[in-house]
Amino acid sequence: MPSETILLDLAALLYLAAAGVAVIAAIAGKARDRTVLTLLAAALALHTGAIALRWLRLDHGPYVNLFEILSSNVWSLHLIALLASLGVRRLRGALVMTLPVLGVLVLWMMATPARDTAVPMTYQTIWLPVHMVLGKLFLGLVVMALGLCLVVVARRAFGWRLSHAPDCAEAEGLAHRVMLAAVVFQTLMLVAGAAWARDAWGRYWAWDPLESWAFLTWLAVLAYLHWRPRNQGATVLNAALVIGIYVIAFATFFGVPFVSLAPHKGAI
Amino acid sequence: MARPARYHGRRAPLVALALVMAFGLAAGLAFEQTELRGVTVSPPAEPPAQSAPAPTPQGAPTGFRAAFEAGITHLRQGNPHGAVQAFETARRANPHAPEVYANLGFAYLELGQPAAARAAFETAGAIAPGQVNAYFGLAEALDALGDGEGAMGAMRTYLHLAPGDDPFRRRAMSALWEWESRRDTALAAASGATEPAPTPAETPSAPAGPTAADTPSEAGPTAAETPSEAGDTLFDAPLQTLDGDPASLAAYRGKFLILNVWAAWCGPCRAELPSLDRLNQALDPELFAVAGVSIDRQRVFTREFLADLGVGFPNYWDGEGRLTKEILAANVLPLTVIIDPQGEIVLGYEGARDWNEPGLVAALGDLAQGDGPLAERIAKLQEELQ
Amino acid sequence: MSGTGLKILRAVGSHGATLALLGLMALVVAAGLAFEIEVADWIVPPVAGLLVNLVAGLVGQATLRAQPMLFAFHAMLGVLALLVGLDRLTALNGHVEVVEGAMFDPALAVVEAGPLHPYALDQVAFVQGGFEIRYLPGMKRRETVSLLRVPDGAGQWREARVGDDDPLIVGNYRFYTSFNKGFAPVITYTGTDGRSVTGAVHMPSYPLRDFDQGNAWRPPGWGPERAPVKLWLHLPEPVYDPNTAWTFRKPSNPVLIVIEGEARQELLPGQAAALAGGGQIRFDELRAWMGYTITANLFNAWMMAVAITACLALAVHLWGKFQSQPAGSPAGTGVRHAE
Repeated sequence: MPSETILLDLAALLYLAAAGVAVIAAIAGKARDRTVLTLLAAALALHTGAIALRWLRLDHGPYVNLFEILSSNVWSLHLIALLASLGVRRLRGALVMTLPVLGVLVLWMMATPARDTAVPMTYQTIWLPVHMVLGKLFLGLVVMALGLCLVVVARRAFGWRLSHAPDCAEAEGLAHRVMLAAVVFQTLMLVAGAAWARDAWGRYWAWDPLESWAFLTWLAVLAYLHWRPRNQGATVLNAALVIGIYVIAFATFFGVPFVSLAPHKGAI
Repeated sequence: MARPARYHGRRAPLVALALVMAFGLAAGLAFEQTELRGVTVSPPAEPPAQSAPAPTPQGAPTGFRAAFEAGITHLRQGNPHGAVQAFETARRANPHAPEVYANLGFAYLELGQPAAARAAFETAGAIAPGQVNAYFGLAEALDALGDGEGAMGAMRTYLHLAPGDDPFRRRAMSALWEWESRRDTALAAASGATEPAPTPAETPSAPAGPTAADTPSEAGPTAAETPSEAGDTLFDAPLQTLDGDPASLAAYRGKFLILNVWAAWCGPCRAELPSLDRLNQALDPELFAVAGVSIDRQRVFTREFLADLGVGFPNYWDGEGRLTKEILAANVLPLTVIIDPQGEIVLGYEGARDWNEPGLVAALGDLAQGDGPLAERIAKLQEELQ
Repeated sequence: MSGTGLKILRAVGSHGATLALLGLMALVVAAGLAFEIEVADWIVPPVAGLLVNLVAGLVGQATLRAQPMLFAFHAMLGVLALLVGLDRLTALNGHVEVVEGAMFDPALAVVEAGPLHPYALDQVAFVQGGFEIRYLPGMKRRETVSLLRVPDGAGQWREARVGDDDPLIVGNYRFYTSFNKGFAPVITYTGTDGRSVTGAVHMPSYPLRDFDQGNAWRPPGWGPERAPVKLWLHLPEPVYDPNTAWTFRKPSNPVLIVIEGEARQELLPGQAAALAGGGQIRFDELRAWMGYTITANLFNAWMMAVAITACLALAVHLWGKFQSQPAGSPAGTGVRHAE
């Protein structure tokens, strides 16, 4: 276990360092893409090792408690950010916004107790990894779009230069494309989730809180995709809508599954 | 004005749709035939020639009683289809049970089949002229069929036969009043009068009739139905022992009473009871008493639960809610109140805790025998409870 | 189509109408979260509205027809909505408890079915055998294995194992083992006429309601005016220790307590007692019952096929779009596509 923790701590440091370098470079007006991407790749390598060690020890993947969900999403979202930046050069300029947002997740992960877990019986199905992979692809694309849209808002609202990021119109247009791709994975994620629910609980959809929030997230994406074609000029508003979608998706992925009500206790 | 950049001709969307639908059809057929999990069994065209091996005893829970009870359950859960099937099974098992026909009639009414309901109720009444609820149901069925006079006649028969404390008398009287008013209005309209008929104070909308399996609840009337008498104090509130005898807390006057309100369905309550039992053994019985009051619905089951658990301190049952709801207003369980010898509540605690902490036991001892003002001793106890 | 008709068609199929209906749908779902309304019922009007909006869009929006795969994607969404509606009308949900050694009896199943459901539960035949449920320390439930005997299609019976994600599938019906299982004292009642009938009384779910192992039972022939007999299952030794691993099992020394009014009688297996209300009850043995969730969704496979196909159509459309219009075209200039 100590080696698992050390790997995770080092990975977290490198994630935060990558975010730090991206921000400092943007303030200084210099491009440090290679450094950022190298730090990201190193962080991912160490994090992969930490996840693998924990997987071997517990005999199941990182998908049961909050710590594991955060860890696996920190890993996958950074991986998608890295691969997207390697594949589409224009996306690198948005890392100055994307990585600090992911850095908040990293800090949250480090602050969450890493308790050991046992996988519930309903998780032993092929639909779990299918649903998870599709969900991570969706959220990863939303985070990339978020980064691009934060560039737009930072420039228009706060006057930041961010000279190495795409211009506002291009950034917003790219974000729209990313969201178009995201909705495909999101829809497939819902289908896989329904298939999983049917085998786990005998019904494919019951409007429970998580399903309801996931559906609201899907509706938000559909509404944005139907709004934007007639409002292509409203760059800042469109960017704000994508940021709103991220907030709803974040609440769905990281909030709803873990909200609990503790009984009131105490002297009266 | 922007024009579409690529236009493949008028048929292109339909061709694309046809291709996609063909793909979907193939996928659907493939998925239909594929089962990733589970054991698939074809429904047998005929029952198996050989009976399934089944160990003794004989008989499965499919007799008359089981089918009848199942039908009642279906009715209560709003599943008239299931109820009809279950009652038909019961009827085949015992064609002479009037309660089956009566409840079958109610199920048909739920299904909106008043003619079938009427036949069922009439059969029930023919088998057992004293099957009271059959007349209630028959009245409803006849009303649905437009036979107002018949409906009123049946309802009058019900009111004549039903006991005075029958819970459905009020509904029956209200329905009868409405029907009579409706008839009078119709008559008045026919004769040219214009005075509107008075509306009943309570208008039954599809009154749910009594079922044969209705039994009086052991919990008795709720606090909302029985107004509390002025001047009820804690010690006067009527309780029952777990053996059903009348009781109250009056015997605890003159001592500090640690009273715990609990229910068996409350997990923290169950976990706390042994701790209270140990507290009862630790405290001076001359100065203190520990007692519990259960608000469970089934008193005899509460008694058995406590016998299984093996707690020794006295427990009571508050079926009417006079003490727990009206006086203590217990909204959170478990609730423990500490009552002084004069009957005043000095402290209350919501939630479960360990009652054997040395500091707490000492503070309780201080409460009864310590020096200094009572308020200070209560404050010290409150600190221990935090 | 006349000019006015076309205008109406375009208005009904417009993006604005789509947005309004999506908003209405979101309101219904949010109300379900906040006020616990029945979302499945309230969502029908906005879905119906979206279906009309969709059809009008497919017919009236030229830009949609100009992108064949996008057109096909939207059309498949409409098909999916129709399939969901059909599925709801024909679905069945319910649950049943089956005691060891007994045949499944559809009359005992508590079900809710859509109005068009082709009821055929009476064609389902299986006999419940034993079952095993394993727990880890801390009451963490692990595998459930339920042994059944099912018809083998050749007039005989064969053994089948179901449990957790492996349901019994008979026709359109799926039987999933649920977390509910419990004990069932088997009793034989002999009436005053000398006739005997044997049956099982299901006690509440165990260990979920281990504190409440009681039930009320009315012997055959006892009318509603007579209070039922109350039965309580006393387990002298604990069946489980929550701090260790254990397997669900029947206790070896159960005691059935027969309560009439305030009188109680304790019966060991094989013992009998006279009832004050008439007749005699014998506690034959203790068995266990298994709970099943029953579902029937006739269009699940088709819904999945249509949903996946629709996503593939959208993916093909996007691929073509991204290839023909590389990233970097400033938004707001060039060609405007309906998306």
